[in-house]
Amino acid sequence: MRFLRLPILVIGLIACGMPAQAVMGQGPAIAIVVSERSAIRSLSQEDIAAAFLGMSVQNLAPIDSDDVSLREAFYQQLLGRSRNQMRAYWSRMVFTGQGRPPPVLNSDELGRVSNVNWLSYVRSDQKPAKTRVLLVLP
Amino acid sequence: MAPILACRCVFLSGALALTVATGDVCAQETPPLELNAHASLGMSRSLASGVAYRAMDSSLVALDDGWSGRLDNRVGVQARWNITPAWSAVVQSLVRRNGADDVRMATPWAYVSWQPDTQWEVRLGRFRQSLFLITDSYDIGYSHPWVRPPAELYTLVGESTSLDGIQVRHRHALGAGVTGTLTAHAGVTEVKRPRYQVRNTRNLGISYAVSDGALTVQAALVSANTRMNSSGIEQIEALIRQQDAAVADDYGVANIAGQTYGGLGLRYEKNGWVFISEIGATQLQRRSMTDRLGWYATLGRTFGAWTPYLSYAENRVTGALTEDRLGSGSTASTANAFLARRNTGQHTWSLGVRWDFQEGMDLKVQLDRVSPDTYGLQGSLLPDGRHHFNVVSVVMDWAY
Repeated sequence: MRFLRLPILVIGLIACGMPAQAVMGQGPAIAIVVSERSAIRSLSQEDIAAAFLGMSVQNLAPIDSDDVSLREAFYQQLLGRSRNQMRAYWSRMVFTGQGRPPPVLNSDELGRVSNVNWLSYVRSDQKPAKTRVLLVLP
Repeated sequence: MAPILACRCVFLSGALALTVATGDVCAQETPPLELNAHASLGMSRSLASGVAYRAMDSSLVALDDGWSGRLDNRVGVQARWNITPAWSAVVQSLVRRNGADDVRMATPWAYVSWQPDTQWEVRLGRFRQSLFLITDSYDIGYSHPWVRPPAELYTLVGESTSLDGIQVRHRHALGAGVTGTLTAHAGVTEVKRPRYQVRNTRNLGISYAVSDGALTVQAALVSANTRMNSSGIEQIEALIRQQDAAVADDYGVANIAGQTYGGLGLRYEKNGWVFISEIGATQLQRRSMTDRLGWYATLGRTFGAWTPYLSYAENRVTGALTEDRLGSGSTASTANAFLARRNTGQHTWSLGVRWDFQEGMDLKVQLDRVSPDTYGLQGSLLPDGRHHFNVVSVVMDWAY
């Protein structure tokens, strides 16, 4: 155990002194949006998290943004996870047959998605046409 | 025009992308064929000469003091054919060095799936059981924080993880954002290795996991009837039978009913922190198979692309390691020597860092300090004066 003292001390100092990226992340305000034709009127943040982890039992169809910085900020705010962590999560799900990651679309294309149960996120000042904001992440 | 061609579909997996100039965007249209692959490429070595590190006590794959990729190198490919929205077929092939120390292609997954809705799934064919948190994703290095899952726990189930049979899964909401997943299976499994052959003629399992997205807790129980051929155990059994048939029955492995494996694990991942801990135990119904308990705890924290982690793992024998029913003759001595070698007890401190240097790729460096009680998972005593040895590993993982 002695051989680990120095590395543990260094890691401990780093962990205590440096905020993780998740804590530092002050990204753009993010609006959760659905189709204006959707019957969904409200969702809790927990329900949205479950949907984007592929664990929702509701008939929700999450869609990821092709805006990489927005996607990073979204998962940090919603789940406290980085894009790399989500990628690792989905690799586990895909190779055990438990789900597949949400498809990726440009926000301008959301209004034309045929499935009315889609659920996505956009920068709050860039709400696409034919969409409705459910909530804005704090 | 067919619906799938009338719209544009983009998938993160990169499996398929169909584009036309205009039309609705059918983001939820499932491609007919999805291809995914994963690979791990690594080099590792024991830092002590004369000590061969094993990640699984039943395996012949051992790591000596020369750099080698024999423990971690592997590549897997998965094809999923989405026949209809409810029906699909999945085949996953894996090339790796198996417990016989041969590089072979295996097929750990090959099943037909029926998903009538978002809650139910029924699989028929070959699948991996969900006994421990990582049993079903053991070979997907990219999805784990470590170079390899802690040996002290995962050696308990060995290579008998893929079953041929039926698996049923039901997912249900337990509250806002909280999901419960009940998984049950029934099947058979067979592993043939030079030193032994083991067949579960009836393997029944049930697991239940609750997750709120950040915290996942899973409990699982597997019961199996086992038929085993092992020349080492059979020789001991034959020797004891000459003296005491009742004791010999406690060593016979030709037909064992009601072996059980249990696991309890939790995983927490939020705000840059990851904490994973599991405990598992066996009741194998025979003194010759030695009941064991394994557990570990891992704590890591992510800083951008870097995740340093510290892990502690322990394997402990809970069954008897001595035979006091045979008096003090040579048979008793032989039985006691046999049981002593079954002492896989050891503990390991692991310190490592994962670097996600590119999307879908990571590089991990890990240092393990392994302290066997006696033989440990290595199956041999350390050289005189040594109580531990170190293993260093550098592995690159990739998933697509």
